[in-house]
Amino acid sequence: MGLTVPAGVRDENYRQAITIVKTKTQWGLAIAGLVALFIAPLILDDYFNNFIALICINMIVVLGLNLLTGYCGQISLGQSAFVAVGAYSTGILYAKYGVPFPLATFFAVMISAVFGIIVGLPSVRLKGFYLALSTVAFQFIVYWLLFKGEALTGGGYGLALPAVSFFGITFDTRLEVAYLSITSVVILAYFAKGIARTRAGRAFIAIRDNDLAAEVMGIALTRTKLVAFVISSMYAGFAGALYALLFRFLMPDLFTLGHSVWYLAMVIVGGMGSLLGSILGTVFIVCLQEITRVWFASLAAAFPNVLSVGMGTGISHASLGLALALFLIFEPRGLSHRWETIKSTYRLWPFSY
Amino acid sequence: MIEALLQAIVSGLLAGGIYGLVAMGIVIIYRSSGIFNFAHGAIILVGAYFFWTLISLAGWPLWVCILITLLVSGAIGVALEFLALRPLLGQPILASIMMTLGLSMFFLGIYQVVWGHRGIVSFPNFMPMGHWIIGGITIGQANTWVLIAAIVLFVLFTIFFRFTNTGKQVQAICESHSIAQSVGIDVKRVLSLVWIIACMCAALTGVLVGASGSVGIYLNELVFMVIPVIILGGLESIGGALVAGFIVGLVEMISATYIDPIIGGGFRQVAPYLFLLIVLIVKPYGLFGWERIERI
Repeated sequence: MGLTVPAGVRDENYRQAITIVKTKTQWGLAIAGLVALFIAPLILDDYFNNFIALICINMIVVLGLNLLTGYCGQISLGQSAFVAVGAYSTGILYAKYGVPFPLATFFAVMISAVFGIIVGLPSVRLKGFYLALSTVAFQFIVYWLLFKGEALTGGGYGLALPAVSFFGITFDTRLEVAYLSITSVVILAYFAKGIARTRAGRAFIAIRDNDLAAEVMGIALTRTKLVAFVISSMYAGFAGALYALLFRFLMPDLFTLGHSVWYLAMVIVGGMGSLLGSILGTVFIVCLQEITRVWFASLAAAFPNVLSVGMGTGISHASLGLALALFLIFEPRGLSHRWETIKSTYRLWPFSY
Repeated sequence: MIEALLQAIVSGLLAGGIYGLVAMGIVIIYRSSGIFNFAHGAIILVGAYFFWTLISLAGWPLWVCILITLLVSGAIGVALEFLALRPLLGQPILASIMMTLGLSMFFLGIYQVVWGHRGIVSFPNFMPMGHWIIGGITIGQANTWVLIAAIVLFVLFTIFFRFTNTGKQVQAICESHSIAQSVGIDVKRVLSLVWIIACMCAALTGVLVGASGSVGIYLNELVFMVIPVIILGGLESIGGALVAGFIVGLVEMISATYIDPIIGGGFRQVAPYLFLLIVLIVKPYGLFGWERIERI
């Protein structure tokens, strides 16, 4: 486990051993962090609140994907298809059939779970790379269905939602959306932490490390893999519902294979099998995407005769691809590993042995 | 009615030639290193535009252009293997998947920066662009040449892997890197050679496919269109890639002919992926793939 508590703090009974927050310092930091998170949207302007909501939505998807890929070892390159299922289910139920938003979200999460079972079924026979390709196929099929099901999804013209209001709050400014997404991400991160520590979570890790050995030990392989798929697709479906609420406009091009690739990249850059890593990785990649996008857009605007807008997106693509490659070469265990190294260096300094 | 079916079969076989050509380049890398090269499509794209720059903007003679394009793509292959993929030897499979996806994005970015503003371009005609019409069935001449090129390339690869010393070394590292190393084969050198061949194959694909139609960003998507082909053929078989290319081309064209009128068009985009799911469930290791036995 490594050093996670300072010297002298020992667990004396089972109850202490399973607590997440152990010392007074940790309690202090956790509470201060939460307070800072909830005060931030009041200080920041609309642009940053929008950005926070975007990070939170990505983070929810990545938390779910980390349970599937980082803990259970099943590669999914179709995660943004699950987000699309969640977003479109919510959007169609809410905008076309007038279902109240919380209920629509609930149904959307359930529909995503059903899709999770369908996509997870091939994992009974396939593993590794073959499974990854079957999720790619799912991604393309969902993308195609979004275009073809024009009567429901609006096809390439997109699906617009009216402003959402429930429990007496109307979510039409960025402030409310930011608060909703921060609250959801805190609760869901806590859930994910819990899942990772239960019997199911330990079974995930056993399957990742060696699935044959796990089966020999008595872990129900099929059921556990399906559970992992269902949980991650539910996370993605919920993120999709938030997406619908945040942007109030859905179109198929928001849910492409490229988005799925970036969700996986966030898991890897953060660190596989680490929930702290999911948070760090998401923040890092989304910020990188936004910075390159904004920076190169302004660069293209500043030198219109030298750079075209297409070149701006080109440079941004190339630098993101390069960043991913460099991470894989130099820090394959991700930012969370780096964070642990920094922490232990700080704790052990100056006698680091 | 029968004419429509025959036309679908002929177009399917011709499309299959392109799929086979793309798939072969990916299979060569996969069987020797276990890496699925998602960047193949982006290399095809960059190769085709590089060739276009030489032949249309610089106006150099055809053979010089082809030679330089092959040399440059070979250099790209060496660089990719040495800088990007060699550090990942022994890492889990996800790392190599993400690496090639990242590289694909990198090359796509380079395309957008250098050639993005050119839009869709076409080469000067050096292949016959007409059609043969035999009994009411149209056969595109350029596509036929691509098909012939795919078959020729397959024969060349077979000769190389069966009868030359270097080719046999490649076959050996396909079986096992460590055993090949222990009998004195320089695995790293062979791996760079494989990447050179695959990248040259990609650039050649770009030139041929671009010459038979037009050159545009759609070339990048070829790598996703051939995933069903590669799975059906078996990830390790070059001949399987060609055969499966024909089968998937046929499935695509026949379903386009018969199912499109029912659901109102566009089915050919998704038919190969539905087919892929069926193949994965029924016969996951494809027609000619290796089913490896797992031990704890």
